[in-house]
Amino acid sequence: MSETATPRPESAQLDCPECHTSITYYDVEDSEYYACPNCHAYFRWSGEETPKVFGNYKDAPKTSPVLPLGILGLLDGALYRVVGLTSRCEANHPQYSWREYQLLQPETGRYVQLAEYDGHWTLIWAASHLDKNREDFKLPDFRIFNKYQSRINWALGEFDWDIESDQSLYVTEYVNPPLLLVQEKRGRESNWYRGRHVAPEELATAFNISRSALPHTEGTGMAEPAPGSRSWPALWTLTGILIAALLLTQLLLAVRTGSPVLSQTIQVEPNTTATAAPGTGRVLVSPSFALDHQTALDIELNATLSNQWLELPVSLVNEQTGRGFEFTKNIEFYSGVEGGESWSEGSREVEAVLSRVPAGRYHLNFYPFTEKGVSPEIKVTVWANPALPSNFFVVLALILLVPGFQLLRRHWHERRRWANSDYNPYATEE
Amino acid sequence: MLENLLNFLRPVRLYALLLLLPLAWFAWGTATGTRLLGDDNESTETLNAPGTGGHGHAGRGLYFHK
Repeated sequence: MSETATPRPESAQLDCPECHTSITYYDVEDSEYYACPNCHAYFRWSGEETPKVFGNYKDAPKTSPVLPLGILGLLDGALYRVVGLTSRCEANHPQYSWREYQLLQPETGRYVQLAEYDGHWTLIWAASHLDKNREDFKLPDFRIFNKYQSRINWALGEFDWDIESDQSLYVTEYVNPPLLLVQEKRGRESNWYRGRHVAPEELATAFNISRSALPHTEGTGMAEPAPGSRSWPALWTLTGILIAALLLTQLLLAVRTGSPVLSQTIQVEPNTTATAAPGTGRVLVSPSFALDHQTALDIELNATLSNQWLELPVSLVNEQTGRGFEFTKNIEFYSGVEGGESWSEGSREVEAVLSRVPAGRYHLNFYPFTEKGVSPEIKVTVWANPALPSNFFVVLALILLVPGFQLLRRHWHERRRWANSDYNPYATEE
Repeated sequence: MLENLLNFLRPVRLYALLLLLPLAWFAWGTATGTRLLGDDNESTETLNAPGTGGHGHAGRGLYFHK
C-alpha cells in the first residue's frame, strides 16, 4: 500500500493457475486476490511462484457484465476503471442479491464501489478525512434501512483483500436519499462508508454506454431521490405564497360585501281567485334596489316553516330593460320528537347566487306555492358583491392539484422504497 | 430578499406561469361578478348576461312588473 516515487504501472498480466488464461490486472501494487473471468477460479497471488487456489465460482455468468472489466468511466470528475465485480446475497435471504463493481482511480489508487440492485445504482466510498466535514452525512439525519451479513455468489477480476472474508462482516445501511451511510462491523472493528444514488442516465454517460444496456429498474432504489425532489421546496413555497395571496384576496372580498342591498320580510298570502290552484299564493313583489355596477347577487331566503314545505319560483327583474333572472327554490322543514329524541329534517333557509347581474334598478317577484292554508313569512336578504367562496375553493383546488399529485407520487415512491427494508415504517398499514 | 426568493423559485418558474391561468380566472370571476362553477339562474334569456343582446323580448311574459 506504500506510495512510491516511480509511476504506477497501468496494468500487468498473470496466468490463471486453473485454465492458464492470461488475466490483465490493473492495481499492480496492491491486488492479491483474483477471480478468473474465464474459468472463475478464485485464487491468491502476491508474487510467489504458485498461486493459492481457494475454489471456483461455478455460478458466475458466461456473459460479459454490464460494466466490463477494464472499462473507464468519469464519475464526480474523477476517472475510474472497473477492476472487479462481485455478486452477493444476504446470508439470511439469499433471494436478495446485488452486484458490486470495484472501481479503481488509477492516479491515486483509491477505490470506490458501484452497487447495483434491481437496476438501481449507488456509489459507495470509504469515509475519510477528505470529506469528514460534510454536513450532509450526519448520522441523525439518516434512517436505518437494513442490517445483514452477506455471502459471495460469484466474482470476477481483482481485489486487494479476500472477498470471502466479508462473510464475517455485519453490515448496517442507513439512508437519507439520495445519500446513504454504511457501517461494517467485524468484532470491535467498525468502518464507515458513504454513498449516493447514481441515476442510470448518469452512469451511462459516465461510462459512455447506452442507457438501454443497463438493467431495467424495478421498484424504488434504496437511496433513489423521490420524484420532483429538486423542485419540491420551491413548489411548496410557491403554493404557500399563492394560497396566502388568495386567502387575503378572499378576506378583502368578504369585507367588501358590506351591508345588504335589500332586506325585507314578506308574507305569503293565498291566491283566492277562482282560477288559482289550491295552495297557490299571490305574487309578491319586493321593494326596488339599485346596482351601480355589474355584480353577482347572493339572495338568502328564510321562511317560517314548521313541518311544511314551500316551492318558491323567484325572478329578478330589471325595471329599465325588463330583462330577468329566475330561479326556483324548494324550502321544507320538518321536526318532531320520536322515542324521546328530537329530530329535524330540511332547512328553513336557502340561498341562490346570480352571476353577472348588470347595473340597473331591480326588484324581485315571488310566485309561492305551498300547502293549502299555509301562509309563512319569508325574510329576503340580497347581497351585492358577495365573496363567492366557491370561486376561492375552485382556484384553491387548482393550485393544489400539482403539489397534491406530487405528494401522492412521493408517498408511493417512499412506500416502494421501504418495501425492500426490514425497517419498513408502512409495514403495519398493510 | 425578493431576488433570493425568485432564485429559489426558479425551478418552478414555468409552473408558476401556468398557475397564472387559474389566478386570472379567479380575477375575472371577481371583476365580473361571475360564479365560476355556474349560478342558479334558470332564465334562458339571461343565461349569458350581461351580453345577451339579440334575445329581444323573449320571456317577457314570465315576469310581473311593478
